[in-house]
Amino acid sequence: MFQLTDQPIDPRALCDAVRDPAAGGFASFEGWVRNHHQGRDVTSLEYEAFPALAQKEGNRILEEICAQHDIIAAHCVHRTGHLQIGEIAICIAVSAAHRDAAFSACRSIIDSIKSTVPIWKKEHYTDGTAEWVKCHACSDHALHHNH
Amino acid sequence: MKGLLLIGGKSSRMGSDKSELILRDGLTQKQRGVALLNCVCDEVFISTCEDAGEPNTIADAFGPIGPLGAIASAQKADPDSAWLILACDLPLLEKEQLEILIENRSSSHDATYFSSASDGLPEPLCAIWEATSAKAVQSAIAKSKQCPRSVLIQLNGHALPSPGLWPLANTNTEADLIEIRARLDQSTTAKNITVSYFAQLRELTGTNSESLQTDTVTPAGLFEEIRAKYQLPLKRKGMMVAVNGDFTDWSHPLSEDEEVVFIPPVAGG
Repeated sequence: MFQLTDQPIDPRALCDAVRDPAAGGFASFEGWVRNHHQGRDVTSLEYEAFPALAQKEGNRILEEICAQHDIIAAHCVHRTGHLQIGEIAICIAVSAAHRDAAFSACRSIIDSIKSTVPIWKKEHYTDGTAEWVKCHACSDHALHHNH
Repeated sequence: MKGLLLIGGKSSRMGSDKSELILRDGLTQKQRGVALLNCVCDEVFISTCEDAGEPNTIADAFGPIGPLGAIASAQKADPDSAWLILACDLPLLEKEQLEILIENRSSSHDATYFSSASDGLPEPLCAIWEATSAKAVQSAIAKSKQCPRSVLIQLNGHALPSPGLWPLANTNTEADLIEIRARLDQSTTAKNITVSYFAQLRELTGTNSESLQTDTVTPAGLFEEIRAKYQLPLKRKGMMVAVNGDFTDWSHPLSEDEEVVFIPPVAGG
């Protein structure tokens, strides 16, 4: 199940949510707010979602990846709003009978969420400025294409 | 004044040749482009990749580097002439727009061009490039900076007001083509659409949501209208679109009362 929240994420609760007697492996991923990005000092991050579609797309990804791997349960929570350094922006929890499936599903989930779920982040910098973060490919393109 | 028709770069070499499309007057885009240029130029040439030895063609002298190479090749063929450069894939362009260019030409500038409806920047491929622009063209090519628009931005150019969104609309994507065909068939009708904005787009437009009336027929056309309205520094490429809460194609046929959300590259996680 995919969820958006404007409250701090509790990774323990997410771990408990995927707990199962048949599970022999558990993998999780947490995305944390980092104090730097591409050489700039970051003070905080703001996440904004297109909630209805983010919810739908997040669930679609979880269902698709669970169908591809031998997974018992997979949950993901993504935070919205203004986050401080060190806070958890996203937490993914996956349980499976064996470790391979848990590891690879967890990895696929974060990669897919980053590429299609409509959530955006704005970085606030130490110099007081702020910018919506572009994907790497796009910012590379912008560098070559100055207009 | 000499005219040079650009008939497409890599895509034509890959087999989908925009210049052979017939969209109006029973003419291919290439034939129509030549006819338009003939109305206002003394002599008209077609830009080609390789030297086919045909009359009134100018072969790329700088390799397959796109429109700027074609412009440089024309300037090499006749360094003293001004060149009216025209892309062939502008089906809604009329003779009148070329006449406006010619009438307002300023030969004391390096170029005369229209400003883009969507971002106010120069439109390089329906523009007069004076002989004095050749140095900047050469220097850009030497630095492997092959964007004609960037060259025009640096030059001392004479900018004319935008002729509007549609005369310079091109046929780059399937959605562009649908939008242009609807205009040629005059099959567009006014409809009310709700557009919601999130994140960067919410800040740039200054609103969460708006209802607007549009005669565009696809989200692609609607985005171009909105881009022009707010002068958005965003291009459709790399973006996604949702209609009524689901991802869809840029060529989705818009209907009355639909809800559209434009989705710039996402950055969750």
